[in-house]
Amino acid sequence: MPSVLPGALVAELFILGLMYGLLYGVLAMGLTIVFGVMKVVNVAHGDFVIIGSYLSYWAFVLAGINPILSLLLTIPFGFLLGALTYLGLIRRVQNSPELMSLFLTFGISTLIGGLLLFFYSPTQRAVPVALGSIEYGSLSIPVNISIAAAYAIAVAIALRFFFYRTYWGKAVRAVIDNRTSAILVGINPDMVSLKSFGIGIAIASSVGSIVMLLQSISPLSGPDFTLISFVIVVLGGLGNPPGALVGGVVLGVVESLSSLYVNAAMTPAIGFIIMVIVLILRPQGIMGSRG
Amino acid sequence: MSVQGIDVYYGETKVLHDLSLKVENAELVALLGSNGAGKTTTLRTLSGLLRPAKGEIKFDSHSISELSANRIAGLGISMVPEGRGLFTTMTVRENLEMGAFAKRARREMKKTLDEVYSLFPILKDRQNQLAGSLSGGEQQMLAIGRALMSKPKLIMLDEPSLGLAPIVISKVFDALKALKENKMTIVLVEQNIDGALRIADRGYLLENGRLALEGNPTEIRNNEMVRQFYLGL
Ligand SMILES: Nc1ncnc2c1ncn2[C@@H]1O[C@H](COP(=O)(O)OP(=O)(O)O)[C@@H](O)[C@H]1O
Ligand SMILES: [Mg+2]
Repeated sequence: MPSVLPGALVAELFILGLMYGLLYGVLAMGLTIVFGVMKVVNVAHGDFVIIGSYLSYWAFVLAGINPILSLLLTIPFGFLLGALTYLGLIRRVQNSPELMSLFLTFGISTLIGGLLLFFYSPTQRAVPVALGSIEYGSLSIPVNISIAAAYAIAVAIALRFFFYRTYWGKAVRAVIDNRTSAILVGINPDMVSLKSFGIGIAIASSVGSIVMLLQSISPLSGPDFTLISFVIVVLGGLGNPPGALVGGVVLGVVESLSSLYVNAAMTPAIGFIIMVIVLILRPQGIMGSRG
Repeated sequence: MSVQGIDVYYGETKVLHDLSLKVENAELVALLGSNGAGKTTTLRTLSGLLRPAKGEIKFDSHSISELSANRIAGLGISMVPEGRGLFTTMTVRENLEMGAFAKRARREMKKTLDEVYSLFPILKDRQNQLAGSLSGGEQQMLAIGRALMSKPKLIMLDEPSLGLAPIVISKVFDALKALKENKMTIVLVEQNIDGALRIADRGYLLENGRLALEGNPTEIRNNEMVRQFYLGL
């Protein structure tokens, strides 16, 4: 630990943490929307990220398409894949005890990881695009992370618009708020679940495209993303989308700043430490209102 | 609406026994009984949240016993559930908008909204507040307003007076009376027997999931058992 912290370093770590946090927060929003609507914990959430990453990887390798452009592919593909997964699998367990859906999505996660391993081998894959950094005075912010943050903000704004300005978005909030009352006003909960699962997976796989700008991935990277989303969802309050965004930012900033004090190998533990603290002090999450 | 000999279970426990009742158009029918008699269970069954194991429920001469609750709502049967069931994290106005989810109601949402606001002006003043922040009486008006947004043919209310101050109760009952005068068909569940009988056309009394008595308000009021056990006369 440096004896005097240079202000620029702290500012840089703060901004980087904020940017990563936005991306992880948006990813966790996908998980929490699904949980809020159908009380299903999607253990395969991170594996859908990796599916998006592989799509972007192959789009780059085979057709030279930049991962940013392949968002146009992974967003609709993710929505469709999510809708089909809901129709074929999730729908069958959504009214069963929660353990059933946990087993099912765990199975989906294992299946996705296994299939990717089988077809693409355990090799780490990366897209070699060098984007450089932007310098602001003494701050240096990598362009790829800035793109990640910009995408996250765009998704958050789009979700905000959907949930608060469109009738169907309000119907999704109604189901999250009080499922029985939503049914009693005539909302078809299966229709809302279908759309929500589609949205959740579209978020996951499109984040996968962005991830290809940031790091290398392998078929078994999925659970890392599930875990971090899960921590954030608990931080922000289960089933609370804006809470997930706040939770993501808190986690990103704290993790980033903690690198000043603790060994990088410890960083993943930071998330769990914050989660435990929040669970003790505010079991309903940072933004949760109901006990 | 007609209900013919329904049995309803929670798991293994039979809660409604061979229950039959009838609600004519533009009628206000009171469904009475003490705590645990099966009133809520009856409404939950009529709205499709529970399925009868036996018997049939007909609405507009079609059987609805096999339909899902959201389909039944779409047919024009609207429920104000026990405890109001508001969307507490949504605004007053959003709650009302959601009430008009059924296709035939959504087209006329703006117009119906004005009607509901003129019935309960306080809801207009509070339209941008979260439903969870309203007082008990305002919440009950919102719950009724939301049910009306679906342009229902039949509205069922589960103990709308519960937990409200007497002056607020009489406001709610006045609103129901006004709806009835506008030819709305109403099923009113109440433990407040006296209040309900004042505005009802007919009533049914449930005891332990069985029909104990039916008749017009005078007949029910003058029944020896009702006088003794329910009205304390
Ligand atoms: N979810 C439930 N599971 C099992 N039993 C229930 C449930 N809800 C109500 N009951 C039982 O069913 C009976 C009728 O309850 P209810 O319809 O709520 O009565 P009321 O609305 O007239 O007070 C009661 O004996 C109650 O204990
Ligand atoms: Mg009841």
